[in-house]
Amino acid sequence: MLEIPVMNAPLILRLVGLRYTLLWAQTRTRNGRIALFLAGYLFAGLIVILMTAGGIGAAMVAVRSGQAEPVAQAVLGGLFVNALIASVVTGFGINTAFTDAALRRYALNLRERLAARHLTGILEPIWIFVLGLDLGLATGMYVFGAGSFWLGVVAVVLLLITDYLLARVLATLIEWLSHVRGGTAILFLMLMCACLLPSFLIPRLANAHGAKAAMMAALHYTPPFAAAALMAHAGAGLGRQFGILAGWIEALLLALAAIEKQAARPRGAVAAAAAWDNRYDRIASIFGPAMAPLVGRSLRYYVRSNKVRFNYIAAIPLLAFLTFNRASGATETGPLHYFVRALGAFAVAGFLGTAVMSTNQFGFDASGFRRYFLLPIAPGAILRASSYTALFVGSTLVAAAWVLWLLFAPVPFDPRMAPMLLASGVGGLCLFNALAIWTSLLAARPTNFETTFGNQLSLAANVLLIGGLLTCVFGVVALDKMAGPAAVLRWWWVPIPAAALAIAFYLYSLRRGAIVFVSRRERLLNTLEGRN
Amino acid sequence: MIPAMTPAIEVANLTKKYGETVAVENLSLTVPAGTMFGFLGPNGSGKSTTIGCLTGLLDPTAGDIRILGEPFNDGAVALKRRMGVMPESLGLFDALYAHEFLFFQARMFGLDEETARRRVSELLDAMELGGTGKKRLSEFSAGMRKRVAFAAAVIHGPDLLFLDEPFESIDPAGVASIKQWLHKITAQGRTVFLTTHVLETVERTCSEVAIITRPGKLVWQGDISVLDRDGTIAHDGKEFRTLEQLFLHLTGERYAQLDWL
Repeated sequence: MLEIPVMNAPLILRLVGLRYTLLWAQTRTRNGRIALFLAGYLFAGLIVILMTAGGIGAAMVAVRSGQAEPVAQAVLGGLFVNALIASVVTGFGINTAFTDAALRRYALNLRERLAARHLTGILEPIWIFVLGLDLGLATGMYVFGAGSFWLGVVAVVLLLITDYLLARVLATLIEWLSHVRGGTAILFLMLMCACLLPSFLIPRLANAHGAKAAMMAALHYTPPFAAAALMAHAGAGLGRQFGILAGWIEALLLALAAIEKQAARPRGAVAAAAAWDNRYDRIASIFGPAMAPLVGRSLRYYVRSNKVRFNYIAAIPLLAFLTFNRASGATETGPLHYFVRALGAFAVAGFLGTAVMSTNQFGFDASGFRRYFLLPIAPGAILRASSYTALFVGSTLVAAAWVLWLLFAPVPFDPRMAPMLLASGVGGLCLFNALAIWTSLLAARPTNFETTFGNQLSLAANVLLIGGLLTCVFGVVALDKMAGPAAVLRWWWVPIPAAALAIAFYLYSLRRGAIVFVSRRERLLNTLEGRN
Repeated sequence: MIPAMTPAIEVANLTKKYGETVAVENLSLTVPAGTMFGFLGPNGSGKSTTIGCLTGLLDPTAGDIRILGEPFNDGAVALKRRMGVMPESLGLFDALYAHEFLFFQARMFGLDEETARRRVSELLDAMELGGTGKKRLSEFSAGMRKRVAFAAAVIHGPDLLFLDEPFESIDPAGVASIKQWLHKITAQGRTVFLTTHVLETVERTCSEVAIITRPGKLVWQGDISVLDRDGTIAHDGKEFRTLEQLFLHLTGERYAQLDWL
């Protein structure tokens, strides 16, 4: 007789419960309570807005316009891609709550551990939020008579599983690539393709004969389109749509298993004598003999962190995307408009590559933080060394972006652009790093050095990073629309005093931060060593 | 080196509070120079907090500290150069290789580049960590991490060495080597201040011991070298043949009865 294996469901559910208990436990801290309040406030607001505009509202539009399926495709596709980007780029929803190794201590077999890991993953708040929005559409379409409720629910659940698995596959792939030799180069190419290919290919394909129809036909094999078809048609082609979604899930599960297996393969630890690599110390020596060992140590952390490396290589392609793409809401194209948008991109260029470490300068030190205060040096020097390193690493990005602009700038080139861009880059770098000193001191968090993914930043650091990026990108779009490029160029000298002000603010933050660093050291020590 | 008569550590009325919680209360202690000094107490009695205050990690709420004959405060940078500390949590920078970490430590404590490199190589060999050049500290075993932390504490040849649980996780051969080095250090007139829960080790290694109870109150301090000669320690009208007997008597530690076990 065939024996059906039974999962240890109570234990798995208890682990899911534990995940939520741990999330809830974070609200016991002051920062956690602030985060909970803001998240709850935003969540409630978004639910109201999106359930009306994106979910049920979209369903109303879909049914009234007689275009139920295309509208469902657009809404589900948009949510699918946004959730994917949000989770892969920011790390929300793909933090590994329990690793396989951690789950081995419980009485769970391999399949059960797999189920526990993915159940805790897919029940993260972000996926529940996406599910709510998708369900809004399904409910709306049912209420307005454009589909079956239960088919819609099944379609939405399968779509969510596909979205989660795809995010997990991408994250695991990038994590693995960032650990293997040559992986960084592959990642860089992947990012360049992801950022630049769409704006290059789409206009050409749109004009090519038959290309649009072929693209639309291909899109019908994607999860959002299959789910939209299931939602809108209760009868015809049901099996085919189920098949497409099931096929995606199976393929993604197989891909995930293969990548995880590859990533879990132990890297050969070859016995080797100490190899003295002086590069870091040589670079650090420019900061003077007293500061050099500290900067050298800090530089090694920046260079060896997968998170920093990934963000560093992603920074310039991302900024190129934001400058030359219309995704930022810009409608005007042309060299001068690109230049105005580049001003915003330059302001955030140096900070983007290092933000994961510079906004939480001691978060990666764990118990090493303790050692700083045992060293025969004034504690202020530690803060300075750490911040100088972030500034130095970030400045290489500003320099690279500046050189690239000078070499490949869209013509006509105006000589006033060079100092403007440089001042914007330097000013932004100093301003953001000054603010990063304060997030490091006032909102420090213990952070895992080894991971590439997962958003481990504090709320303040997230506000600084995401808010800073959005302000720079949309600020210059607004400037472009309101003043226009000619006026921006006429006021070419403005970024220079602005940069000087930013430098002054940075120096003030360093000096004042050193005092706060000493006075808060016991609190920081407790936080970083996990005794919050 | 400090004059023989100057105590290595003098603590007067040291108090450390965390809000309303008292971690160390009115602790007064004198550690003679050139001794191997054992600082004992049950879990949570304030040993690590005391070491934190004595090494500059924590700010005392009240009290005076003199280290190597000089007042110890926030600005005592020169004094810190003469101290070596191995914290309980080790305080390693996990992203570095062992030789990089030790080199960093040596440079921070003022050794020139050549001396620093030579000592790093010697220490790595002595600690049997010679083949770990391509392994980050995060990949080290607990015992290896402890050895690195010990090496970091001694690399600059300190006059006063603080060791918090130095022998835990280290294999017997490693422990024997470390004990030999510690004896060499004290034989040169330098001082070792160590905490551990392994009382047999203290009995065999230390010449003088202080025992504290919660919250950081000194209950006994004295010479224990008599135990090495099969002698006894007299206290409260009783004779104690081992340090463990004395410790349990002073701290009132008892075994809880777990019937189900």
